[in-house]
Amino acid sequence: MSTDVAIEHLFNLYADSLYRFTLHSVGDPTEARDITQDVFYRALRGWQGFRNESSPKTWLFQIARNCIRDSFRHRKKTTNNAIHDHTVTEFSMDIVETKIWLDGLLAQLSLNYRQVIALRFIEDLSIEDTAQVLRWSHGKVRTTQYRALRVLRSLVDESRRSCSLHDRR
Amino acid sequence: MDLFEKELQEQFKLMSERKLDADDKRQMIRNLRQTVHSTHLTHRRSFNWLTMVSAVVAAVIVVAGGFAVSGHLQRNSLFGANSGSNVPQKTALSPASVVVYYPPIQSTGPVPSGPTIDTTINVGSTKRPVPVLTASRLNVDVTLHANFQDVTFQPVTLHVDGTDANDKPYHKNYIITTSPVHLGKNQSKNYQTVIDVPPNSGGYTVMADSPTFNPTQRSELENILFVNHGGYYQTGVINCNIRQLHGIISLTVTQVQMTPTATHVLFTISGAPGAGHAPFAADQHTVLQQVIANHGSVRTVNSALVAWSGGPVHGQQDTTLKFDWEGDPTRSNAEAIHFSIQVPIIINGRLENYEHFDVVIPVPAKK
Repeated sequence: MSTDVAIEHLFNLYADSLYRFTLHSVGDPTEARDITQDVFYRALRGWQGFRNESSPKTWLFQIARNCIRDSFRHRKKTTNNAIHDHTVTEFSMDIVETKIWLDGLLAQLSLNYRQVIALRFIEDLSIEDTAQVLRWSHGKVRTTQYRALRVLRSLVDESRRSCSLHDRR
Repeated sequence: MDLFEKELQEQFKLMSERKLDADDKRQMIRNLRQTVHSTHLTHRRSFNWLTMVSAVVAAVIVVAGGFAVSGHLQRNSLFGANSGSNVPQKTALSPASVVVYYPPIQSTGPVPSGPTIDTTINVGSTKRPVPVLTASRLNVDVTLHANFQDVTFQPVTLHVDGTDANDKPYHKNYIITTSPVHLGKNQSKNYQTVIDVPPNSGGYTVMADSPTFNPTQRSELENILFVNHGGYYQTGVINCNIRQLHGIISLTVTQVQMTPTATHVLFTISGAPGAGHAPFAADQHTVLQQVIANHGSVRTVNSALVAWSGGPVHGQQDTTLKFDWEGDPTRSNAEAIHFSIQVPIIINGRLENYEHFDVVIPVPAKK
């Protein structure tokens, strides 16, 4: 299979998953789309070096994770914050349109927590695959997942309490 | 797994249904194919260069920075002002910058200052030689900047042109972003990319451009008056002024005066570039993206029909509708775009009459 056919095949299989993972990480749909595209460019360039040591899916998620990291680094360097203010709004709109409640709560988690939840629960990756993508140990994945769920649970409880308070009023 | 986690699983399942837009996917596939055809092979060749140079020379890869201002070579930032030598002083990758401005800064116009600023040579793009002598990889910062007004940057591409060490032409494209980037006045957005160039050559030209580099478009429909004269309705003055074909079109409808009761205003867009009078929906290159109203609420009936509903309207109401609209600049047989506006007048729940008129927006001559 030639490189371009292989990458296109992978695109059809995993573009949506990568987009979701990226979106949960960066919060901005436009940036998530750009990063998803970038993942496949990088995959295209690195395809010759892909040695099947991991599954293509895990490999693509690793690339995505690197792209996300680059994006965050770049954000830190960028002095103009106006765009980011804008993107927060965009993400808020997306929250409204999709799963308002849980999306909003997830957005409050740290990047590590968001990524581990996105990979484990939304993309249904195994502990092993998640560890490969994030380049963590299995133990760290389990611990981070546990902590992320604990924080999420407290956010859920808090959110429900405030909702019921609001209803009573 | 406790109840909480079970509940979360259900919610997560729903979240996993979120997908990329089909149009975005098609565009991405197109871009990937384009990249394969235009850059992949050359990239591999340049990678081999990198490998070879690294292995044989075991030299530090040095990257040139400090681009020329006003389109000529300037080496001071990389080599040191007094070094008098072409041996690079820095070993780290130095970011280079290419700035795409809108409105484009003419060579006679003001040249803004700042570390990432360069002279704009072409309309909507910057072009500058890269003093690459021994570098094989180069970090490039591409900055999109809207100087004076809102602007939509369409896909931005970086072109690298030059000759390699054997004097063979070398050309490579890098797609910086595929999605339209909307920037407000004075806003900037940065992108970083790494480009590959064959080392030991005379230099390269790096040009960032945005082929469908679009200004904000404004079409103002002013003073549209709907005056009830015993069941008949008159239209007022329609002043339509659109300068460019692509970008955001703002339709400003002011002084909408409706009596006794009008509940809906339907804005119908019935023309598309190159597609005759077919609705926008029929033209896959044309997407009506967003409608914003400052009064009442708006819903998109389909991509060609937008309904504004502000509740029963008595007397005079002002409203502004903005259509974020993307056209296809490559269509040569572009025709005028037709906007028509219908105002159904509903009295006692029954459609009594509606006013309908067309607004023709001429296609500007191609530059």
